[in-house]
Amino acid sequence: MHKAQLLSKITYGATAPVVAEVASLGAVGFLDRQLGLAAAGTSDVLTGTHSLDADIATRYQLFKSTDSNRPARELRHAAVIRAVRHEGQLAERMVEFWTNHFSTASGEDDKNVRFAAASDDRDVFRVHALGRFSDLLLANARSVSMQLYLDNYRSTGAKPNQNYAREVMELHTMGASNGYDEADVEQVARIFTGWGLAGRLDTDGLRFEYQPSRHFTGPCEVTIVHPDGSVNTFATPARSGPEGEQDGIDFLNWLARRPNTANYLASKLVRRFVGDDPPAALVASAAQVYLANDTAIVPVLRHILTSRLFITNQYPKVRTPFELLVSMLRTTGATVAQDFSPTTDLPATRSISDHLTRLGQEMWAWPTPDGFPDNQNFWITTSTTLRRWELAGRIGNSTLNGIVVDAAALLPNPMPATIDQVVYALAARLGLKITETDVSAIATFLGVATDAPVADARLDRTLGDAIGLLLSHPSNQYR
Amino acid sequence: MSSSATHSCATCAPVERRRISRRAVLKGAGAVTTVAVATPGWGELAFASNNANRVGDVIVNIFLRGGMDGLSVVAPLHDGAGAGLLAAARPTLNVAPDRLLALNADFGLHPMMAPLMNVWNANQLALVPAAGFPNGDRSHFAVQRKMDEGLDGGVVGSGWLARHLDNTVSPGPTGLRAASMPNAQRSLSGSSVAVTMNSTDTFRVDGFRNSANSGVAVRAAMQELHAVSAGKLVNERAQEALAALDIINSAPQSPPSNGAVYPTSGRGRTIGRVLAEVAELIRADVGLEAVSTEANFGWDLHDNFGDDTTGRQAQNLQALAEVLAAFALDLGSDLDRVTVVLMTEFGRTFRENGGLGVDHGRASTMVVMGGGVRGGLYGDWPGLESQNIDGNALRVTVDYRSVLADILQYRLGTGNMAAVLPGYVDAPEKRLGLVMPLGAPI
Repeated sequence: MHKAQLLSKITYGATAPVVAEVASLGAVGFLDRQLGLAAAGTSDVLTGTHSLDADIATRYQLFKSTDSNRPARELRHAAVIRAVRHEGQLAERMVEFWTNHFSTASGEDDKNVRFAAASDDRDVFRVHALGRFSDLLLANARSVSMQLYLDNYRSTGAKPNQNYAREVMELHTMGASNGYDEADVEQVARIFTGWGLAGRLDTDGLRFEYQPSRHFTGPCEVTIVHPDGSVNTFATPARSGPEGEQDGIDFLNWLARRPNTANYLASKLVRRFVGDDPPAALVASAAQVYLANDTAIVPVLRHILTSRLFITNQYPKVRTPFELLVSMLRTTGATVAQDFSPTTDLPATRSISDHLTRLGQEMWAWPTPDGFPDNQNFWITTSTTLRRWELAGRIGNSTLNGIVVDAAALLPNPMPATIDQVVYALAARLGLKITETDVSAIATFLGVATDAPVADARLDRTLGDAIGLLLSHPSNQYR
Repeated sequence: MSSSATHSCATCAPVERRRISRRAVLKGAGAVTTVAVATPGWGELAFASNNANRVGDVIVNIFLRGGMDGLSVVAPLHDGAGAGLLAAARPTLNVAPDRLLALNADFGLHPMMAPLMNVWNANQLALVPAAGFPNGDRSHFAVQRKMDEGLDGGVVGSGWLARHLDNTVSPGPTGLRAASMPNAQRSLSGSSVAVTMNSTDTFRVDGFRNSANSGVAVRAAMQELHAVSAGKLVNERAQEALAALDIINSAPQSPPSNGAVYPTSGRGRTIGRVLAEVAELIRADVGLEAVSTEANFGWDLHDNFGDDTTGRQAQNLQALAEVLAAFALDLGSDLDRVTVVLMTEFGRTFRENGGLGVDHGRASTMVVMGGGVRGGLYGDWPGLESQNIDGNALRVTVDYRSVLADILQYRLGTGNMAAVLPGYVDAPEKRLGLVMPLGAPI
C-alpha cells in the first residue's frame, strides 16, 4: 500500500525502473532516497540556444525582441523534461509546489517572468526546494522576479507600496486574515521599503540591492495573534543607513516561525500530497514538526508521507494538467524533443505550452499571486474533460509535435489471441486498472466482440485511439 | 445609510443623495430626487412576462478580477463633488474633469469609455459608483471568494448563481441552463446544471483518429467508460460534457448582428469572444439562463496606472467599454431579456502610492446593463473629504448584494432570496430599484 502510494503521489508516473527501485529499497528506503535527491539542474535539460543557465542581462538579449510569452514556454518545456526524466522526482514536485506557492506572472509589459523567472527557478526554488523554509522565503523576497512582480522595488518610506507586504503574509506565510490586520500590512510595507533592484536590464541586468535612501526610518510594529489566542509583537528600532535592511531580514525570520505560518504551510502540503480537504489532525501534527525543526521542509514531508492517512489513501486526488501530461509521457515511454530556440517555437515547446494552457495550467502565467488552486473542482470541468481526452488521443496517436510515442512498443509480446487480452495488457502497461465494462466499451469502439481474434481489430489503424481511450479512463485522471 | 446626507456643491445644492438618478436630471429638475420604485412581490410578476416560456432574464455576471479602480470610472466633475480633492490625492493619475464624459451635473465617465455612451443614452446602463463588499477585507482572494459566493463573511462552498438556479424552476425542456466561460467561475460552483466552456468553437471531441460524425464512436466509448458513478467528479463531469456536446452541436450558429464588432486583439479579445458566443447562444435559444465570466485585464495596478489615454487603466476601461457596447449592439432587442452585472472585489486607494499606482481600496463602480435597466447613477456618494474617506479609500455605501437583490427579484424571479444571498438582511431602503420588474414595458 505504502509503495503504491509513493509511486503514484511522489513520482510523476510509475515507470518500470522506478517500480523496480521501490521493490528493492522498500517504501521507507525509497522515500528516504527521494528526500535526499536534489532537484535537476540546468544541464541535459534543453538543447539548442536556451537561457536556463544565463544571467539576466544575457537573457534580456536573447528574449528582448521575441514573443513576450516565449520565456515562460521555455520554463514549461524545461519543467516537463525534468519531471519526465529526473530521478529526484519528489524534489521536482517540490519545485513545482514552491513555484506555485510563490507564483509570478508577467502582464503585457512586465519583465519579471520574461527576464527573471528562469533565474529564480534555478537559484531559489531548485536550491531551496527541500531546504529550510525561512531560507527560501528570504531568497524569494530578494529575488528579482518577486521584487518586480509585487512592486516592492518601487516602495518608498514616503509612499509605501503594500503589494508585497500584503501577499508575503497572506499568500507566502500565514494565510488570509490569519492573525493580522490592515494596520499590520501598512507596517510591513514600511519594513520592506528600501528592498529593491539595481542595474539596468539592457546593460548589466538587474540584481537585488538594499537602498537605504528609500527606507522608512521610523519604528515599526507588527502584532500577530497566534491560533491559540496569544499575541506576539515584532518591533523594529528606528534606524537608517545600511542597518535598515536587517529589519526586513529579522521580520521574515520571525514570520517564518509563527504557528500561523506553520499551519498554513502544513495545510497546503497536506492538501498537495494527501487530499483536497486536509484532515485537521495531520495538518496540526505536520505544523508541529515544522516548528520543532526550525522550518526545515524534509522532516515535514517525511511526517506527511509516512502518515497513516497518506498510506491508506482515503482521499481522491485528481492529477493537475502538468501531472497528467508528465505521467502519460512517462508511462507511454514517449520521447520529448529537447531542442529550444529563443527566436522561434520549436515543436515540443509549442505542444507542451499549448496543451497545458488548454487544460487550464498555463504555468508562469496565472494572473494573480495566489497560484493555481489545489482543488479538483478547479481542474476538472466539462471543458477541461474534453481537452484531457484530446491530449490522451494525441499521445496515443503520436500526433503531438515534437513528442513521439511508439504505440506498437506498448503491445504485449507475445501477442495474445483475443482482443480483450490485448486491452487488459495495454492497461496494465499504462498502470491502469480497468473493468470488463471498460474492455467491452473499447471493443465496441474497435467494432469487434471482446473475444474476437486480435487481427479483427485492425490495430495497425486503431491502436492509437485504443490507447487514447485507455489514457482517458477516469482512473488515469486520479493520482 | 446616510440618506439625509447633503451635498455642498454650489451649482446644484442641496441634493438628496440617496439615489443619484440620471432620469431625474433628464426630467430637467436640476435637483436630483429619489426614483420612485414599484416593488410588487415576485408572485405578481412571474407570469406578466410577454413570453410565456420565459421566467426571467439571462443573467451575465462579469467579475473584474484584480480590483478595478472606480474613481477613474465615475469621477466628480467639479470641486463641489470632490474633483479638487481627487486631483490632490492623485497628482499623476487623475483624469482631468474636463476630459470626463458628463453623466449628470456632478459626475462623469472616463473618456476612454465613450463606446458605452450609446448604451447610457438609451437608458440601459446603471452605474453604482460606491458599491462593494460590506466588510473591510482587502484581500483579493478572500473578497472575490465571498462575492462569488454571495456572502459578506464565512463560507458556504457554492456560488450565488448556482443557488439561484437551484431555487428557480427551469422554464422549458432542459437545455444548457448555465455556462462558466472561458473557465470555471466560482459563482456557478456547486451547480449541477452549469457547464464550463472555454469556447463553443472548441467544445468538441478532438485528438482521435476516428472522428466520423463529430466523433460519435469516441463519444459512445467515453459514455461507457464514464458510466455514472455517484460522487466521482471525473465521471460526473464527463457525463455533463457529453450531454452539453449534443446541445452545442445542434445549436444554430450566427455571426454578430447589427454590425457589432468585438475586439479580436488586445486585452478585450477573450471576454469579447466569450460575449460574442453568449449572444449566439441566446439567439440559438438553447435554454441559457445564466453565464458567469471574468475580465482579467490586469486591474491590480499597484504601479504603472498610466495616463488617461494610453495608460493601463485607460486601456483596460476602453476595452471593457468596447466589449460591453458590442454585446449590447449585437443583442439588439434580445437585450430586453438580458441583464449584465459587473463587479470587482474592491476599488483602489484614494491617494496614489510611490509606484504611480494605487493599492487595495474599498468601494468601486458596479455596472448593470440590460433592456430592463433603469439607466442612471445610483447609491449615496460618500464624499472625498478626509472624514468620509475609509482608510485611504472610497467608502462603501452600497452593499454589492443590494444590486444583486434588485436583479434577482425583478429580473430573474429567484425563488428564494435567503438561499441565494444568505446573511443578507433585505430592507426597502437598501434597494436601489435599478431595474424594472419583468413584464413592465421597456
